[in-house]
Amino acid sequence: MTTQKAVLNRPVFTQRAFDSSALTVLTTLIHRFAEVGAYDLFIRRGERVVHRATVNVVREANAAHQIDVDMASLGTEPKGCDCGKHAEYTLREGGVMCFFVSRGTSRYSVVIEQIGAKEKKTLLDSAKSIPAGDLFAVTLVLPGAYRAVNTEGNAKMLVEVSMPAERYRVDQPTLVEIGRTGRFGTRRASIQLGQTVVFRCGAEARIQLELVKPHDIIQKREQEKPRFTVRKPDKNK
Amino acid sequence: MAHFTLAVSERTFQRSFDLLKRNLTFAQADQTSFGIFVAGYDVRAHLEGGTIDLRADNTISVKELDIRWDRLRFMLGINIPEICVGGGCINMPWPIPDICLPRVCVFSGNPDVSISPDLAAFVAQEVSFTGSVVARYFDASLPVPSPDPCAPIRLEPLPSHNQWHIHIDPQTIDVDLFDFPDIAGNLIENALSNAIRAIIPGGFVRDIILAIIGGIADFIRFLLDIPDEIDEWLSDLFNVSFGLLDFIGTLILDFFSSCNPIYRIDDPFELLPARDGLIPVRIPLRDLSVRVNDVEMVAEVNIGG
Repeated sequence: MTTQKAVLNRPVFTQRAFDSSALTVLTTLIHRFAEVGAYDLFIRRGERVVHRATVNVVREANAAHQIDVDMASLGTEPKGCDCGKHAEYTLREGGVMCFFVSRGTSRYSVVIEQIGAKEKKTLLDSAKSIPAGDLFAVTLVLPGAYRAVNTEGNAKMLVEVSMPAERYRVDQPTLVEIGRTGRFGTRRASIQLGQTVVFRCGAEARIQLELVKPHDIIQKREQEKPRFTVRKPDKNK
Repeated sequence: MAHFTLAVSERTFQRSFDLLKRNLTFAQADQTSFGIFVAGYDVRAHLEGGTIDLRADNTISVKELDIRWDRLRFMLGINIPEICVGGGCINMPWPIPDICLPRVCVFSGNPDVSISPDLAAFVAQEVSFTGSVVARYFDASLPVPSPDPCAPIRLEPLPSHNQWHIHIDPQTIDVDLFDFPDIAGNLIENALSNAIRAIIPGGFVRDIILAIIGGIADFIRFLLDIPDEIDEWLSDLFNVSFGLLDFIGTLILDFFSSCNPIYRIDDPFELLPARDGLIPVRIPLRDLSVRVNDVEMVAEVNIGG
Protein backbone atom coordinates (compact mmCIF):
# COMPACT_ATOMS: atom_id res chain seq x y z
CA MET A 1 0.00 0.00 0.00
CA THR A 2 1.41 3.37 -0.95
CA THR A 3 0.20 6.80 0.00
CA GLN A 4 1.11 10.10 -1.51
CA LYS A 5 1.13 12.77 1.14
CA ALA A 6 -0.34 16.17 0.43
CA VAL A 7 0.74 19.25 2.31
CA LEU A 8 -1.77 20.44 4.88
CA ASN A 9 -2.85 24.06 4.61
CA ARG A 10 -2.04 24.52 8.27
CA PRO A 11 -3.07 28.18 8.73
CA VAL A 12 -6.65 27.10 7.99
CA PHE A 13 -6.61 25.30 11.34
CA THR A 14 -4.61 27.76 13.39
CA GLN A 15 -6.29 31.07 12.57
CA ARG A 16 -8.43 32.07 15.57
CA ALA A 17 -8.77 35.82 15.07
CA PHE A 18 -9.81 37.69 11.95
CA ASP A 19 -9.73 41.37 11.13
CA SER A 20 -10.98 43.16 8.05
CA SER A 21 -8.04 45.53 8.33
CA ALA A 22 -5.55 42.67 7.98
CA LEU A 23 -6.84 40.10 5.53
CA THR A 24 -5.61 36.60 6.27
CA VAL A 25 -6.41 33.09 5.13
CA LEU A 26 -10.16 32.31 5.36
CA THR A 27 -11.17 35.97 4.92
CA THR A 28 -12.55 37.55 1.76
CA LEU A 29 -13.09 41.20 1.03
CA ILE A 30 -15.61 41.95 -1.69
CA HIS A 31 -15.62 45.38 -3.28
CA ARG A 32 -18.28 46.50 -5.72
CA PHE A 33 -17.43 48.87 -8.52
CA ALA A 34 -20.63 50.81 -9.04
CA GLU A 35 -19.38 53.32 -11.58
CA VAL A 36 -17.77 53.04 -14.98
CA GLY A 37 -14.20 54.28 -15.02
CA ALA A 38 -10.59 53.46 -14.30
CA TYR A 39 -9.32 52.53 -10.85
CA ASP A 40 -5.92 51.96 -9.34
CA LEU A 41 -5.58 48.86 -7.24
CA PHE A 42 -2.83 48.31 -4.68
CA ILE A 43 -2.43 45.16 -2.65
CA ARG A 44 -0.09 45.23 0.32
CA ARG A 45 1.44 42.36 2.18
CA GLY A 46 2.16 43.92 5.54
CA GLU A 47 3.44 47.38 4.64
CA ARG A 48 4.80 46.44 1.26
CA VAL A 49 2.90 46.80 -2.01
CA VAL A 50 3.09 43.43 -3.75
CA HIS A 51 0.66 44.04 -6.58
CA ARG A 52 -0.46 47.03 -8.61
CA ALA A 53 -3.16 46.99 -11.21
CA THR A 54 -5.63 49.07 -13.13
CA VAL A 55 -9.24 48.05 -12.98
CA ASN A 56 -11.25 49.17 -15.98
CA VAL A 57 -14.95 49.16 -15.26
CA VAL A 58 -16.93 49.11 -18.49
CA ARG A 59 -20.50 48.82 -19.70
CA GLU A 60 -19.86 45.88 -22.06
CA ALA A 61 -22.09 43.01 -21.15
CA ASN A 62 -19.44 40.42 -21.95
CA ALA A 63 -17.05 41.76 -19.33
CA ALA A 64 -16.73 39.73 -16.13
CA HIS A 65 -19.05 40.63 -13.29
CA GLN A 66 -16.81 38.99 -10.70
CA ILE A 67 -13.05 38.68 -10.49
CA ASP A 68 -11.41 36.64 -7.72
CA VAL A 69 -7.92 37.67 -6.68
CA ASP A 70 -5.97 35.19 -4.57
CA MET A 71 -3.57 37.52 -2.81
CA ALA A 72 -1.42 34.60 -1.65
CA SER A 73 -0.49 33.94 -5.27
CA LEU A 74 0.66 37.52 -5.87
CA GLY A 75 4.25 38.61 -5.50
CA THR A 76 5.57 35.09 -5.69
CA GLU A 77 8.67 36.20 -7.54
CA PRO A 78 11.97 36.04 -5.67
CA LYS A 79 11.81 39.76 -4.82
CA GLY A 80 8.45 39.21 -3.13
CA CYS A 81 6.48 41.55 -5.35
CA ASP A 82 5.26 41.93 -8.91
CA CYS A 83 7.77 44.76 -9.08
CA GLY A 84 7.53 46.85 -12.23
CA LYS A 85 4.67 44.81 -13.64
CA HIS A 86 1.32 46.40 -14.11
CA ALA A 87 -1.69 44.15 -14.28
CA GLU A 88 -5.02 45.12 -15.71
CA TYR A 89 -8.50 43.84 -14.97
CA THR A 90 -11.69 44.56 -16.88
CA LEU A 91 -14.93 44.40 -15.00
CA ARG A 92 -18.54 45.03 -15.88
CA GLU A 93 -20.25 48.06 -14.31
CA GLY A 94 -21.64 47.01 -10.94
CA GLY A 95 -19.32 44.01 -10.81
CA VAL A 96 -17.27 42.91 -7.84
CA MET A 97 -13.71 41.92 -7.05
CA CYS A 98 -13.18 39.31 -4.35
CA PHE A 99 -9.84 39.55 -2.56
CA PHE A 100 -9.01 36.42 -0.62
CA VAL A 101 -6.04 34.54 0.78
CA SER A 102 -5.84 30.82 0.00
CA ARG A 103 -2.81 29.92 2.10
CA GLY A 104 0.03 31.23 4.22
CA THR A 105 0.15 33.39 7.29
CA SER A 106 0.64 36.79 5.67
CA ARG A 107 -1.69 39.73 6.26
CA TYR A 108 -2.91 41.77 3.34
CA SER A 109 -4.70 45.04 2.75
CA VAL A 110 -6.31 46.48 -0.35
CA VAL A 111 -6.43 50.06 -1.59
CA ILE A 112 -8.65 51.11 -4.47
CA GLU A 113 -8.49 54.63 -5.89
CA GLN A 114 -10.77 56.08 -8.50
CA ILE A 115 -8.80 57.91 -11.15
CA GLY A 116 -10.63 61.17 -11.73
CA ALA A 117 -9.94 64.02 -14.15
CA LYS A 118 -8.12 66.07 -11.54
CA GLU A 119 -7.45 63.94 -8.52
CA LYS A 120 -7.56 60.44 -7.16
CA LYS A 121 -10.29 59.49 -4.77
CA THR A 122 -9.68 56.62 -2.34
CA LEU A 123 -12.71 54.37 -2.36
CA LEU A 124 -11.30 51.60 -0.22
CA ASP A 125 -8.42 51.31 2.17
CA SER A 126 -9.11 48.07 3.97
CA ALA A 127 -6.36 48.71 6.52
CA LYS A 128 -8.54 51.51 7.88
CA SER A 129 -12.10 50.42 7.20
CA ILE A 130 -14.49 48.88 4.73
CA PRO A 131 -16.79 51.32 2.96
CA ALA A 132 -20.57 50.99 2.88
CA GLY A 133 -21.68 48.57 0.16
CA ASP A 134 -18.70 46.25 0.50
CA LEU A 135 -18.78 42.80 2.04
CA PHE A 136 -16.42 40.98 4.37
CA ALA A 137 -16.61 37.21 4.53
CA VAL A 138 -15.00 34.89 7.04
CA THR A 139 -14.94 31.13 6.76
CA LEU A 140 -14.82 29.65 10.24
CA VAL A 141 -13.17 26.28 10.51
CA LEU A 142 -12.56 25.92 14.23
CA PRO A 143 -15.79 25.12 16.06
CA GLY A 144 -16.77 27.24 19.05
CA ALA A 145 -18.13 30.67 19.85
CA TYR A 146 -16.71 33.75 18.14
CA ARG A 147 -17.18 37.32 19.24
CA ALA A 148 -17.71 39.63 16.26
CA VAL A 149 -17.08 43.33 16.72
CA ASN A 150 -17.58 46.31 14.45
CA THR A 151 -15.16 48.82 15.92
CA GLU A 152 -16.53 51.61 13.75
CA GLY A 153 -20.06 51.12 15.07
CA ASN A 154 -19.18 49.89 18.54
CA ALA A 155 -21.34 46.84 17.92
CA LYS A 156 -20.98 43.21 18.97
CA MET A 157 -22.52 39.91 18.08
CA LEU A 158 -21.88 36.22 18.60
CA VAL A 159 -21.18 33.69 15.87
CA GLU A 160 -21.55 30.07 16.93
CA VAL A 161 -19.77 27.44 14.87
CA SER A 162 -20.97 23.94 15.60
CA MET A 163 -19.78 20.45 14.70
CA PRO A 164 -22.17 18.96 12.18
CA ALA A 165 -24.31 16.07 13.37
CA GLU A 166 -24.71 14.66 9.88
CA ARG A 167 -23.54 15.19 6.33
CA TYR A 168 -23.83 18.82 5.34
CA ARG A 169 -22.61 21.35 2.79
CA VAL A 170 -19.92 23.89 3.51
CA ASP A 171 -20.91 26.09 0.56
CA GLN A 172 -23.90 27.69 2.26
CA PRO A 173 -22.91 31.13 3.52
CA THR A 174 -24.88 33.08 6.09
CA LEU A 175 -25.44 36.78 5.43
CA VAL A 176 -25.33 39.29 8.30
CA GLU A 177 -26.39 42.87 7.56
CA ILE A 178 -24.64 45.79 9.19
CA GLY A 179 -27.06 48.70 9.38
CA ARG A 180 -26.40 52.37 8.71
CA THR A 181 -25.72 52.87 12.39
CA GLY A 182 -23.01 50.21 12.30
CA ARG A 183 -25.08 47.73 14.32
CA PHE A 184 -25.26 44.11 13.33
CA GLY A 185 -28.63 43.01 12.03
CA THR A 186 -28.66 40.12 14.47
CA ARG A 187 -27.12 39.40 17.87
CA ARG A 188 -26.36 35.80 17.16
CA ALA A 189 -25.63 33.72 14.08
CA SER A 190 -25.12 29.97 13.88
CA ILE A 191 -23.18 28.14 11.22
CA GLN A 192 -21.43 24.80 10.93
CA LEU A 193 -17.69 24.48 10.67
CA GLY A 194 -16.25 25.25 7.26
CA GLN A 195 -19.16 27.51 6.37
CA THR A 196 -18.88 31.23 5.83
CA VAL A 197 -20.45 34.22 7.52
CA VAL A 198 -20.71 37.26 5.25
CA PHE A 199 -21.05 40.78 6.64
CA ARG A 200 -22.66 43.27 4.28
CA CYS A 201 -21.74 46.76 5.33
CA GLY A 202 -24.50 49.35 5.32
CA ALA A 203 -22.01 51.82 6.77
CA GLU A 204 -18.27 52.13 7.06
CA ALA A 205 -17.04 49.26 9.19
CA ARG A 206 -14.06 47.45 10.58
CA ILE A 207 -14.93 43.94 11.56
CA GLN A 208 -13.04 41.69 13.92
CA LEU A 209 -13.83 38.14 14.94
CA GLU A 210 -12.16 36.16 17.65
CA LEU A 211 -12.64 32.65 18.93
CA VAL A 212 -13.56 33.23 22.56
CA LYS A 213 -14.85 29.79 23.50
CA PRO A 214 -13.37 26.91 21.54
CA HIS A 215 -15.46 23.78 21.13
CA ASP A 216 -14.72 20.90 23.48
CA ILE A 217 -12.89 18.91 20.77
CA ILE A 218 -10.24 21.62 20.52
CA GLN A 219 -9.85 22.08 24.28
CA LYS A 220 -9.86 18.35 24.90
CA ARG A 221 -7.31 17.62 22.20
CA GLU A 222 -5.07 20.41 23.41
CA GLN A 223 -5.17 18.99 26.92
CA GLU A 224 -4.36 15.57 25.55
CA LYS A 225 -1.00 16.66 24.18
CA PRO A 226 1.60 14.28 25.58
CA ARG A 227 4.26 15.80 27.78
CA PHE A 228 7.48 14.63 29.29
CA THR A 229 8.39 16.31 32.53
CA VAL A 230 11.80 16.28 34.19
CA ARG A 231 11.96 17.48 37.76
CA LYS A 232 15.07 18.83 39.40
CA PRO A 233 16.13 16.47 42.16
CA ASP A 234 15.62 17.80 45.64
CA LYS A 235 19.13 18.18 47.11
CA ASN A 236 17.83 18.16 50.68
CA LYS A 237 16.63 14.59 50.23
CA MET B 1 -16.68 -50.37 -41.13
CA ALA B 2 -13.40 -48.86 -39.86
CA HIS B 3 -10.15 -50.76 -40.22
CA PHE B 4 -9.10 -50.13 -36.65
CA THR B 5 -11.04 -49.45 -33.46
CA LEU B 6 -9.41 -48.16 -30.31
CA ALA B 7 -11.20 -47.93 -26.94
CA VAL B 8 -10.17 -46.02 -23.82
CA SER B 9 -11.94 -46.84 -20.59
CA GLU B 10 -13.67 -44.06 -18.63
CA ARG B 11 -11.15 -44.45 -15.81
CA THR B 12 -8.17 -44.07 -18.13
CA PHE B 13 -9.86 -41.12 -19.80
CA GLN B 14 -10.34 -39.54 -16.36
CA ARG B 15 -6.65 -39.96 -15.54
CA SER B 16 -5.67 -38.41 -18.85
CA PHE B 17 -7.99 -35.51 -18.14
CA ASP B 18 -6.49 -35.07 -14.64
CA LEU B 19 -2.98 -34.86 -16.10
CA LEU B 20 -4.09 -32.32 -18.64
CA LYS B 21 -6.06 -30.06 -16.31
CA ARG B 22 -3.34 -30.14 -13.65
CA ASN B 23 -1.12 -28.23 -16.02
CA LEU B 24 -3.60 -25.47 -16.68
CA THR B 25 -2.34 -22.40 -14.84
CA PHE B 26 -3.02 -18.88 -15.86
CA ALA B 27 -2.06 -15.38 -14.87
CA GLN B 28 -3.66 -12.16 -15.90
CA ALA B 29 -3.45 -8.50 -14.87
CA ASP B 30 -5.43 -5.52 -16.02
CA GLN B 31 -6.84 -2.26 -14.76
CA THR B 32 -9.73 0.00 -15.62
CA SER B 33 -10.19 3.67 -14.97
CA PHE B 34 -13.46 4.80 -13.42
CA GLY B 35 -12.76 8.53 -13.39
CA ILE B 36 -11.94 9.35 -9.81
CA PHE B 37 -10.45 5.91 -9.15
CA VAL B 38 -8.58 3.17 -10.93
CA ALA B 39 -9.33 -0.46 -10.13
CA GLY B 40 -7.36 -3.43 -11.33
CA TYR B 41 -6.39 -6.99 -10.62
CA ASP B 42 -3.35 -9.21 -10.80
CA VAL B 43 -4.33 -12.87 -10.60
CA ARG B 44 -2.76 -16.27 -10.92
CA ALA B 45 -4.68 -19.55 -10.61
CA HIS B 46 -4.71 -23.25 -11.37
CA LEU B 47 -7.34 -25.96 -11.56
CA GLU B 48 -7.91 -28.74 -9.05
CA GLY B 49 -10.43 -31.48 -8.33
CA GLY B 50 -13.50 -31.98 -10.42
CA THR B 51 -15.06 -35.08 -11.93
CA ILE B 52 -15.47 -36.09 -15.56
CA ASP B 53 -18.32 -38.26 -16.70
CA LEU B 54 -18.66 -39.92 -20.09
CA ARG B 55 -22.31 -40.08 -21.12
CA ALA B 56 -24.28 -42.34 -23.40
CA ASP B 57 -25.37 -39.45 -25.64
CA ASN B 58 -21.78 -38.91 -26.92
CA THR B 59 -21.15 -36.03 -24.52
CA ILE B 60 -18.87 -35.54 -21.58
CA SER B 61 -19.64 -33.64 -18.41
CA VAL B 62 -16.99 -32.01 -16.23
CA LYS B 63 -18.24 -30.89 -12.83
CA GLU B 64 -16.94 -28.92 -9.86
CA LEU B 65 -13.53 -28.15 -11.22
CA ASP B 66 -12.03 -25.86 -8.57
CA ILE B 67 -10.29 -22.64 -9.53
CA ARG B 68 -7.56 -22.25 -6.93
CA TRP B 69 -6.35 -18.69 -6.73
CA ASP B 70 -2.63 -18.61 -6.01
CA ARG B 71 -2.83 -14.85 -6.18
CA LEU B 72 -5.86 -12.62 -6.45
CA ARG B 73 -4.57 -9.15 -5.88
CA PHE B 74 -7.08 -6.34 -6.10
CA MET B 75 -5.64 -2.91 -6.79
CA LEU B 76 -7.49 0.30 -6.07
CA GLY B 77 -6.05 3.75 -6.53
CA ILE B 78 -8.04 6.82 -5.62
CA ASN B 79 -7.36 10.39 -6.48
CA ILE B 80 -8.74 12.12 -3.39
CA PRO B 81 -10.73 15.15 -4.53
CA GLU B 82 -10.04 18.56 -3.06
CA ILE B 83 -11.32 19.00 0.46
CA CYS B 84 -12.28 22.66 0.72
CA VAL B 85 -14.12 25.02 3.03
CA GLY B 86 -16.17 28.09 2.32
CA GLY B 87 -17.55 28.84 -1.11
CA GLY B 88 -21.18 29.15 -2.07
CA CYS B 89 -23.05 32.10 -3.52
CA ILE B 90 -24.80 35.04 -1.90
CA ASN B 91 -28.07 36.20 -3.38
CA MET B 92 -27.81 39.95 -3.84
CA PRO B 93 -30.72 42.31 -4.43
CA TRP B 94 -31.31 43.37 -8.03
CA PRO B 95 -29.44 44.77 -9.96
CA ILE B 96 -26.38 43.42 -8.18
CA PRO B 97 -25.44 39.98 -9.53
CA ASP B 98 -25.04 37.11 -7.11
CA ILE B 99 -21.59 36.88 -5.61
CA CYS B 100 -19.90 33.51 -5.36
CA LEU B 101 -17.32 33.18 -2.64
CA PRO B 102 -13.94 31.59 -3.29
CA ARG B 103 -13.13 28.34 -1.52
CA VAL B 104 -10.02 27.58 0.49
CA CYS B 105 -8.70 24.06 0.29
CA VAL B 106 -7.38 22.02 3.18
CA PHE B 107 -4.55 20.40 1.22
CA SER B 108 -2.21 22.15 -1.15
CA GLY B 109 -2.22 19.20 -3.56
CA ASN B 110 -4.50 16.33 -4.41
CA PRO B 111 -3.37 13.33 -2.44
CA ASP B 112 -3.55 9.89 -4.02
CA VAL B 113 -4.02 6.70 -2.08
CA SER B 114 -3.72 3.17 -3.34
CA ILE B 115 -4.22 -0.24 -1.82
CA SER B 116 -3.58 -3.72 -3.19
CA PRO B 117 -4.84 -6.44 -0.83
CA ASP B 118 -4.61 -10.10 -1.84
CA LEU B 119 -8.09 -11.59 -1.69
CA ALA B 120 -7.14 -15.11 -2.74
CA ALA B 121 -8.12 -16.56 0.62
CA PHE B 122 -11.65 -15.21 0.37
CA VAL B 123 -12.73 -16.58 -2.99
CA ALA B 124 -13.68 -20.09 -4.00
CA GLN B 125 -14.97 -20.79 -7.47
CA GLU B 126 -15.88 -23.79 -9.54
CA VAL B 127 -16.09 -24.43 -13.24
CA SER B 128 -18.33 -26.97 -14.91
CA PHE B 129 -18.73 -27.68 -18.58
CA THR B 130 -20.33 -30.09 -20.99
CA GLY B 131 -18.98 -30.94 -24.39
CA SER B 132 -17.81 -33.72 -26.59
CA VAL B 133 -14.62 -35.19 -27.99
CA VAL B 134 -13.43 -34.27 -31.47
CA ALA B 135 -10.61 -35.43 -33.71
CA ARG B 136 -8.55 -32.85 -35.59
CA TYR B 137 -5.72 -33.38 -38.02
CA PHE B 138 -2.48 -31.53 -37.45
CA ASP B 139 -0.67 -30.90 -40.73
CA ALA B 140 2.94 -30.06 -39.89
CA SER B 141 3.50 -28.59 -43.35
CA LEU B 142 1.06 -25.73 -42.71
CA PRO B 143 2.44 -22.58 -41.16
CA VAL B 144 1.57 -21.78 -37.53
CA PRO B 145 -0.93 -18.89 -37.35
CA SER B 146 0.58 -15.58 -36.37
CA PRO B 147 -0.07 -14.47 -33.73
CA ASP B 148 -0.52 -17.89 -32.24
CA PRO B 149 -3.34 -17.72 -29.65
CA CYS B 150 -2.27 -21.03 -28.14
CA ALA B 151 1.34 -20.05 -27.52
CA PRO B 152 0.85 -18.94 -23.87
CA ILE B 153 -1.12 -22.02 -22.84
CA ARG B 154 0.30 -24.80 -25.01
CA LEU B 155 1.82 -27.48 -22.76
CA GLU B 156 3.92 -29.29 -25.36
CA PRO B 157 5.60 -27.85 -28.42
CA LEU B 158 3.97 -28.43 -31.77
CA PRO B 159 5.16 -31.72 -33.37
CA SER B 160 7.43 -31.69 -36.39
CA HIS B 161 5.32 -34.33 -38.14
CA ASN B 162 1.65 -34.93 -38.87
CA GLN B 163 -0.61 -36.11 -36.09
CA TRP B 164 -4.22 -36.83 -35.26
CA HIS B 165 -5.29 -34.88 -32.16
CA ILE B 166 -8.21 -35.85 -29.96
CA HIS B 167 -9.55 -32.86 -28.05
CA ILE B 168 -12.08 -32.39 -25.33
CA ASP B 169 -14.39 -29.83 -26.89
CA PRO B 170 -16.41 -27.84 -24.31
CA GLN B 171 -19.70 -26.46 -25.59
CA THR B 172 -21.04 -24.64 -22.56
CA ILE B 173 -18.86 -23.51 -19.69
CA ASP B 174 -20.28 -22.36 -16.37
CA VAL B 175 -17.99 -20.36 -14.11
CA ASP B 176 -19.17 -19.42 -10.62
CA LEU B 177 -19.59 -15.70 -10.20
CA PHE B 178 -17.19 -13.96 -7.87
CA ASP B 179 -18.89 -13.68 -4.53
CA PHE B 180 -16.70 -11.91 -2.02
CA PRO B 181 -17.73 -12.30 1.61
CA ASP B 182 -18.25 -9.40 4.01
CA ILE B 183 -14.79 -9.93 5.39
CA ALA B 184 -13.19 -9.05 2.04
CA GLY B 185 -15.28 -5.87 1.89
CA ASN B 186 -14.20 -5.01 5.43
CA LEU B 187 -10.58 -5.66 4.53
CA ILE B 188 -10.74 -3.20 1.66
CA GLU B 189 -12.65 -0.62 3.66
CA ASN B 190 -10.12 -0.83 6.48
CA ALA B 191 -7.16 -0.61 4.11
CA LEU B 192 -8.70 2.42 2.41
CA SER B 193 -9.57 4.04 5.73
CA ASN B 194 -6.01 3.61 6.94
CA ALA B 195 -4.63 5.01 3.69
CA ILE B 196 -6.89 8.06 3.92
CA ARG B 197 -6.18 8.51 7.64
CA ALA B 198 -2.48 8.49 6.83
CA ILE B 199 -2.84 11.71 4.85
CA ILE B 200 -4.88 13.47 7.55
CA PRO B 201 -2.95 14.79 10.54
CA GLY B 202 -4.11 13.81 14.00
CA GLY B 203 -5.57 15.87 16.82
CA PHE B 204 -8.58 18.11 16.44
CA VAL B 205 -7.57 18.80 12.82
CA ARG B 206 -8.54 15.21 12.04
CA ASP B 207 -11.87 15.65 13.82
CA ILE B 208 -12.55 18.76 11.76
CA ILE B 209 -11.58 17.24 8.42
CA LEU B 210 -13.63 14.13 9.16
CA ALA B 211 -16.58 16.37 10.00
CA ILE B 212 -16.18 18.19 6.67
CA ILE B 213 -15.97 14.99 4.62
CA GLY B 214 -18.68 13.29 6.67
CA GLY B 215 -16.56 10.48 8.11
CA ILE B 216 -14.21 8.16 6.27
CA ALA B 217 -16.77 5.42 5.61
CA ASP B 218 -19.15 7.89 3.96
CA PHE B 219 -16.26 9.50 2.14
CA ILE B 220 -15.20 6.14 0.71
CA ARG B 221 -18.75 5.42 -0.43
CA PHE B 222 -18.86 8.86 -2.02
CA LEU B 223 -15.52 8.34 -3.78
CA LEU B 224 -16.38 4.89 -5.09
CA ASP B 225 -19.99 5.82 -5.76
CA ILE B 226 -21.30 2.71 -4.02
CA PRO B 227 -24.76 2.78 -2.53
CA ASP B 228 -24.57 -0.30 -0.35
CA GLU B 229 -22.07 -2.92 0.74
CA ILE B 230 -18.49 -2.74 -0.47
CA ASP B 231 -18.29 -6.53 -0.93
CA GLU B 232 -21.18 -6.42 -3.41
CA TRP B 233 -19.46 -3.60 -5.25
CA LEU B 234 -16.26 -5.64 -5.32
CA SER B 235 -18.07 -8.70 -6.68
CA ASP B 236 -19.65 -6.58 -9.41
CA LEU B 237 -16.25 -5.23 -10.38
CA PHE B 238 -14.84 -8.73 -10.87
CA ASN B 239 -17.98 -10.16 -12.45
CA VAL B 240 -18.83 -7.35 -14.83
CA SER B 241 -16.34 -4.53 -15.16
CA PHE B 242 -13.11 -6.48 -15.33
CA GLY B 243 -14.35 -9.11 -17.80
CA LEU B 244 -12.37 -11.72 -15.87
CA LEU B 245 -15.11 -14.37 -16.11
CA ASP B 246 -15.11 -14.06 -19.86
CA PHE B 247 -11.34 -14.44 -19.82
CA ILE B 248 -11.55 -17.63 -17.70
CA GLY B 249 -14.27 -19.12 -19.91
CA THR B 250 -12.36 -18.38 -23.10
CA LEU B 251 -9.15 -19.69 -21.61
CA ILE B 252 -10.69 -23.04 -20.64
CA LEU B 253 -12.32 -23.32 -24.03
CA ASP B 254 -9.08 -22.64 -25.89
CA PHE B 255 -6.98 -24.77 -23.56
CA PHE B 256 -8.98 -27.95 -24.12
CA SER B 257 -10.58 -27.53 -27.51
CA SER B 258 -7.77 -25.94 -29.54
CA CYS B 259 -4.42 -25.91 -27.83
CA ASN B 260 -3.90 -29.12 -25.86
CA PRO B 261 -5.17 -32.46 -27.15
CA ILE B 262 -5.92 -35.15 -24.61
CA TYR B 263 -4.47 -37.79 -26.98
CA ARG B 264 -2.12 -37.64 -29.97
CA ILE B 265 -1.64 -40.29 -32.66
CA ASP B 266 1.21 -39.99 -35.16
CA ASP B 267 0.38 -40.18 -38.85
CA PRO B 268 1.80 -42.37 -40.29
CA PHE B 269 1.57 -44.56 -37.21
CA GLU B 270 4.61 -46.68 -36.52
CA LEU B 271 3.58 -50.32 -36.19
CA LEU B 272 7.15 -51.72 -36.04
CA PRO B 273 10.30 -49.76 -35.34
CA ALA B 274 13.40 -49.96 -37.51
CA ARG B 275 15.31 -53.11 -36.64
CA ASP B 276 18.16 -55.24 -38.00
CA GLY B 277 18.72 -52.92 -40.92
CA LEU B 278 15.05 -52.94 -41.88
CA ILE B 279 13.04 -49.74 -42.22
CA PRO B 280 10.20 -49.15 -39.75
CA VAL B 281 6.70 -50.25 -40.63
CA ARG B 282 4.36 -47.26 -40.71
CA ILE B 283 0.72 -47.08 -41.74
CA PRO B 284 -1.07 -43.94 -42.80
CA LEU B 285 -4.23 -43.17 -40.79
CA ARG B 286 -7.28 -41.70 -42.49
CA ASP B 287 -10.72 -40.58 -41.37
CA LEU B 288 -10.21 -40.77 -37.61
CA SER B 289 -13.51 -40.39 -35.79
CA VAL B 290 -14.06 -40.37 -32.08
CA ARG B 291 -17.09 -40.70 -29.81
CA VAL B 292 -17.93 -41.56 -26.22
CA ASN B 293 -20.51 -43.70 -24.51
CA ASP B 294 -21.13 -44.10 -20.81
CA VAL B 295 -18.21 -46.51 -20.28
CA GLU B 296 -15.48 -45.60 -22.75
CA MET B 297 -14.11 -43.42 -25.50
CA VAL B 298 -14.01 -45.10 -28.90
CA ALA B 299 -11.79 -44.01 -31.80
CA GLU B 300 -12.15 -45.51 -35.28
CA VAL B 301 -9.67 -45.07 -38.11
CA ASN B 302 -9.06 -46.31 -41.63
CA ILE B 303 -5.76 -47.20 -43.18
CA GLY B 304 -5.32 -45.27 -46.35
CA GLY B 305 -2.71 -44.41 -48.93
